[in-house]
Amino acid sequence: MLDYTLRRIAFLALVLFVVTTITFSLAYLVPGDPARLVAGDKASQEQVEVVRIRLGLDRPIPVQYAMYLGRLLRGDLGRSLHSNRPVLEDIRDFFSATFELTTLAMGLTVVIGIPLGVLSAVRRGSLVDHASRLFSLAGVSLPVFWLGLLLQLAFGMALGLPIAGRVSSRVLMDAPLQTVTGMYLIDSLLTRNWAVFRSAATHIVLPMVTLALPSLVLVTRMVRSSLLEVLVQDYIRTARAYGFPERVIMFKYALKNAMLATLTLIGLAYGYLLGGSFLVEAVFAWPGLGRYAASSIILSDYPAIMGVTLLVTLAYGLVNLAVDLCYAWIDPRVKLR
Amino acid sequence: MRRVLRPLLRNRLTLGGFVGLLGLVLVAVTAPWWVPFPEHGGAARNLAHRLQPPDSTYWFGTDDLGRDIFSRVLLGTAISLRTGALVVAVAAGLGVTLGAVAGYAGGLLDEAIMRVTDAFLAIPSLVLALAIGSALGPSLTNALLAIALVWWPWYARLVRAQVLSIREQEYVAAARSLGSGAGRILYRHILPNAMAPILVQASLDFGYVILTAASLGFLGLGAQPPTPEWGLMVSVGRKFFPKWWWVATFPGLAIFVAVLCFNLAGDGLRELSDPRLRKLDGQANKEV
Repeated sequence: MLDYTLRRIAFLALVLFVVTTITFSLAYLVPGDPARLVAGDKASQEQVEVVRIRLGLDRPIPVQYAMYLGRLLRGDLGRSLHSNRPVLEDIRDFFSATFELTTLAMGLTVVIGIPLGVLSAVRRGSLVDHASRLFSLAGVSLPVFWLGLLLQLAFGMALGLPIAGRVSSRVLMDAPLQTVTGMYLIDSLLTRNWAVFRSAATHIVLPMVTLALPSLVLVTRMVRSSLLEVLVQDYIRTARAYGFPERVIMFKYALKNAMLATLTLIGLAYGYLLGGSFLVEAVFAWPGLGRYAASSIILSDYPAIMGVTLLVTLAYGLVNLAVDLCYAWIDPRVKLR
Repeated sequence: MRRVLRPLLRNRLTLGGFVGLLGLVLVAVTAPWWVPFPEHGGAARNLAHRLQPPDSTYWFGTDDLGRDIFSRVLLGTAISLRTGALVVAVAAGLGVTLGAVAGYAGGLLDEAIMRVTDAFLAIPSLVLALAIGSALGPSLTNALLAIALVWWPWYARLVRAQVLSIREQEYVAAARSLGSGAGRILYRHILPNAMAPILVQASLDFGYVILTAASLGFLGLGAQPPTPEWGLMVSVGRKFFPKWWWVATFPGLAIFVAVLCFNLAGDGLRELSDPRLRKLDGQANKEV
């Protein structure tokens, strides 16, 4: 197991190396002179040159790259050209908002997607099953930013659910929230701040549902097809012959094996969620990484964009590392490969 | 041919997908000649009729500049289909070449290409496309390039697996013993036999590419105004939402319908091309 874990971690390191290489090379395609951007429009040519030397931008590119990697290893993602603060500090608050949203969407995906997939497999060929095929193909065809707008129209207007932001600012003013993790739901629970908890919970419903829908239908589909594959195996027929109740066969024998492929998909789905969150955050004015990235893109603040890309990749990599380790733990054969 | 077509057409959903695709292509090719307001596809202004709700003249209503949304949505079909075709072609071209070389050469080269491929696959694709798009600058062409650059690894992996199994076939050995070079063997003997799964993958990808391009357009990194690109139109319409709901709703619906048609057709093709899946479905039918 240790050997396998180390190999997976080495791969994650390779992934991060590739990402930094891509973003670093792209930085040279960005139009404009970064030294000029930092020094400001009014700076003289000498001042710009001083900034250039201070930032190390006068060195050969491979040296700059090595310096950049060195800084990364020390946890220094560089300074935002716009706010002139360390990118990591800029990102911290936004990250917890995105993490809260994607994690809850992931939870919803698993809690609804798996039972729905089982149902679809059990009733194979029935109306429920056909409806589920159309439903799942429709689900992955929906542009999430458009789905978000429709949900705002349907539920925001009709049910009065909030359609923008993480929490009502009035509630926050009456009952200030103590920051513990940066995730409003958890922080308000820990500090027993019920007013904020209620407000944060209603605010997250629509973005969460919007974000979860495409991955939810993918998981449903995957559970269905892998369950069908397992259900024709001999050991299931044996279990049936022994007269075990269908429920026991399904959940105790079949689903456990069908979960292996689903687990991998759940790891992949997290990538969809992270990408999708950029769109959902734009629609619901959710102050997360996507919003930060979008404004950085408009301001052509490339260090910030590099930082976000790297961090999102790291988050995705860690989730998939966890998934792979779970996989190896459930199915010992994996380790041998 | 009939043996291939019949099961494909028997499934109503798949059939619906293919009919829809045919419709989309027809609209894309012919729309400029018959939409009610062809000039509204560009920067035309019709301010007297701005933000009109759908009625008998403006079927989908008008946008903030008074342009007919129905005309713009139909004119946008060609943009989305072209986007899909170009990205899939570039990504498949790049991926097939790298995958074929890796699979055929083997050894260190294979190892290097595949590790890079895996690393690319381990980066969330929309985020990487955003980073690439923001470095290149906002335009439809750059968005296309950005998407193609994150899409090729799927093809590389697929093709490598195909090449690995085909290169051991006897006819390949025969070609080699007749003195054919590696390039000739790859392009004349191996790749033609590896095409089926690549085509299925491409048909499935088409829809996702259109969706991704629309997403970049929505975030402001794709097509720029006044192009009637669907994602961009939703993004503009969002400012007038929900009071003038039609501005964002109809372009979004167009994205959904187009992507759904590709997915229905692609899914049908995939099921057909995987005999294991077909057989399994049959068996499961009997047993469950």
